[in-house]
Amino acid sequence: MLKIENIKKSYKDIKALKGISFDVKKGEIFGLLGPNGAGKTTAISILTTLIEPDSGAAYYEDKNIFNNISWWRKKIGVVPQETAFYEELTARDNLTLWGALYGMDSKQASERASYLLNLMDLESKEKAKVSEFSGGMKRRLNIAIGIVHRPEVLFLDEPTVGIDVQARVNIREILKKFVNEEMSIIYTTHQLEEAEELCDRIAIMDEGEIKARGTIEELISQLGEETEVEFSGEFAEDAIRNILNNIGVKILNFSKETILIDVEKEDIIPEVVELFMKNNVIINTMDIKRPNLETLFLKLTGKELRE
Amino acid sequence: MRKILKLAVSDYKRRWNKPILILLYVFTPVIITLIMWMAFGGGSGGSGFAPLKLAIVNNDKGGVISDFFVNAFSNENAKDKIKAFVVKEPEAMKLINGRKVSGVMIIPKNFSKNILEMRKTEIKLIKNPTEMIYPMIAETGLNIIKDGTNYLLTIFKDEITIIRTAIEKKEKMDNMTFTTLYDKIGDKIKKIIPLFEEQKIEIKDVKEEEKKIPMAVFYFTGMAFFFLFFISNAVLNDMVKERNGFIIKRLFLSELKKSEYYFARILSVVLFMFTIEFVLAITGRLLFHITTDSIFWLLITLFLSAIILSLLSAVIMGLSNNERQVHNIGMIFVFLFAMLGGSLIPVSVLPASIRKFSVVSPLYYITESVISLVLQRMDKFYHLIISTSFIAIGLFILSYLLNIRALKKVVK
Repeated sequence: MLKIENIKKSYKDIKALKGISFDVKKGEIFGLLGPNGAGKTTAISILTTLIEPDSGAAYYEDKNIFNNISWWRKKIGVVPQETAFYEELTARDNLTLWGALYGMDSKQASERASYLLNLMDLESKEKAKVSEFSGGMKRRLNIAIGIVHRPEVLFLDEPTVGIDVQARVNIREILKKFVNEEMSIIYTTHQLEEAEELCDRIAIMDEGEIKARGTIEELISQLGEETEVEFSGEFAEDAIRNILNNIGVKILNFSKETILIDVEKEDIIPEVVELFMKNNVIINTMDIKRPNLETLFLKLTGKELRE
Repeated sequence: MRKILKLAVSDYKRRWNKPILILLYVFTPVIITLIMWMAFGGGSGGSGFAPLKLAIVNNDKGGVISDFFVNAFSNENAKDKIKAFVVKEPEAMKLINGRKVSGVMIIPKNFSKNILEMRKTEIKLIKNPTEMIYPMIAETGLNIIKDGTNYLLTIFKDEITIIRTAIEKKEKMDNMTFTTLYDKIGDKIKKIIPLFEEQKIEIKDVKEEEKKIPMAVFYFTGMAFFFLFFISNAVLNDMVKERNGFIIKRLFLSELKKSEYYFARILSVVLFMFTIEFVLAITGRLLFHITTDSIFWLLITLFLSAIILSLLSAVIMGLSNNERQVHNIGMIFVFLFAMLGGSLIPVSVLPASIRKFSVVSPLYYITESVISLVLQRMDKFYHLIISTSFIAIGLFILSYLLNIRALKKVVK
């Protein structure tokens, strides 16, 4: 398990990290979710030993990683935001090069390259120079290089930033296959859907602090908010209030065209719709608004989380 | 060691990514040398230089000595070397102002008379200010004729005085005086003529082939190293580019050490430069007949020069923080070292006060090594090779320290 304790980092007067603590269990995907400038990349840079923290500690297998840098570097893989490989070489050349730099012999490096090219759907392009790759393909190679040496902990720093939706979905599908690699992943992102889809647990970061952490369900339940349903149509106030009061549903907002209701349990929604229909209430649309990460994020940081 | 080799081989492969650019760099010195070679004697036929164009204004027509001066520049034997236009002064001025001649020689009125009367006189020479060499040649030629005339005037001074006095007094010489004068002149001429008939000093022209080789060796070697220095800078620029990106961090997050990274980079560039030098050596042999009997020493020299160029560029990379600085510092180093080292201008042509600084340019040692080897000046060659080796060691230490320091700034 990787355990991070009260890490702080300042650049002159700017406090980039104000003491962050969290732990990452073996084999889990831990998401660091936050807007640009939240301190995610600084945290990753410190944990990958690229920059030194002002204070704090991080332990892996009970060893302080900052006192055992060489040992720790062998355990980790890093996938940076920007692509970092040689575009003049082929994907295979890049993979075997990094394999060799991690101490693999030619055979091991070649076998690992073949496996990763297959995993990343790059087999058909293995002989092409990387400069000819699309943005999505380059990102996939970037990830492959990060795991060429089978790291125990992988740091993925916004691996899908700046690419199109299709390529992003493609990368998410590939990352799901990493279960077989049996490694812990620390995944930074400001994409809510990515965090929801991939991460076992997340920490919400803003202004150098961790505002909340846990599983997505745990965090949403902390919100204590109920599902809201918005109807549009033609509504007579007295009739509607009668119908909804009888089944104990609270009206949050009412107008002749729209009504917003609060439901404790979502199974009451079909009953509401049935009653509206029995009473000849005309409904054009219905929108169910469940509490989600975005609501949580907005509540914790006061900011929208958008790219 | 395996990591160094793997990284060096990858780097070497990457270097050939833009073959057109490399070809352009490599063949630029070939093209420049070809132009120089053809312009200064390497081309087919002709003497190499175009004839010197000189306008002559003779205001002393019919004068014995002025005619001698005019003939000296416009005689048939010299037509390959000098094209003389005997014209009036206004036309001559038009020619020089239009930069159509390299100089104008104006012989004043009564030039011959004044000389015969032992009075000082002068010839005007107007030089074309836009030319450097031809006006110098014209002045030198004129000086030679002037000195010769002065010499003859000194020898026949007494006789000229007697004749001139007789002419002035309109006296007829008696037979005795005439016979004495005739004998004296005859004696002196007898003494002088053998000097011209049986020449004791001869200027022996070396064979055309021998003349061409040293010139091509100089231009080709100098230009090649000048452009190779540019290439090594462009290639090693990667080191600075990488330092400012994530790739260097990724490299050092692996098990690669900073010293291994440095060695791999230098090794790949040395091999790359050596390959290009090898291609250039073959081109030089085929096109300009530049060759040597000592292939072993040629390979050693090429390898050493590849090391020197790579390490020089590595020093520039160690001093630079970004690509802009590489460009600026690189330009200063390339031009300063090329100029001092004899890549652009032969060291022998440099003023003595500047020439003594040539020894600080590493390009001097590698350029002179190749030239000495081709011209088989082996004593000089061995000295240069030893000096080059010591310079390589010094550059290696300096570039290593600078680059490791720069890398430490980026990754702990």
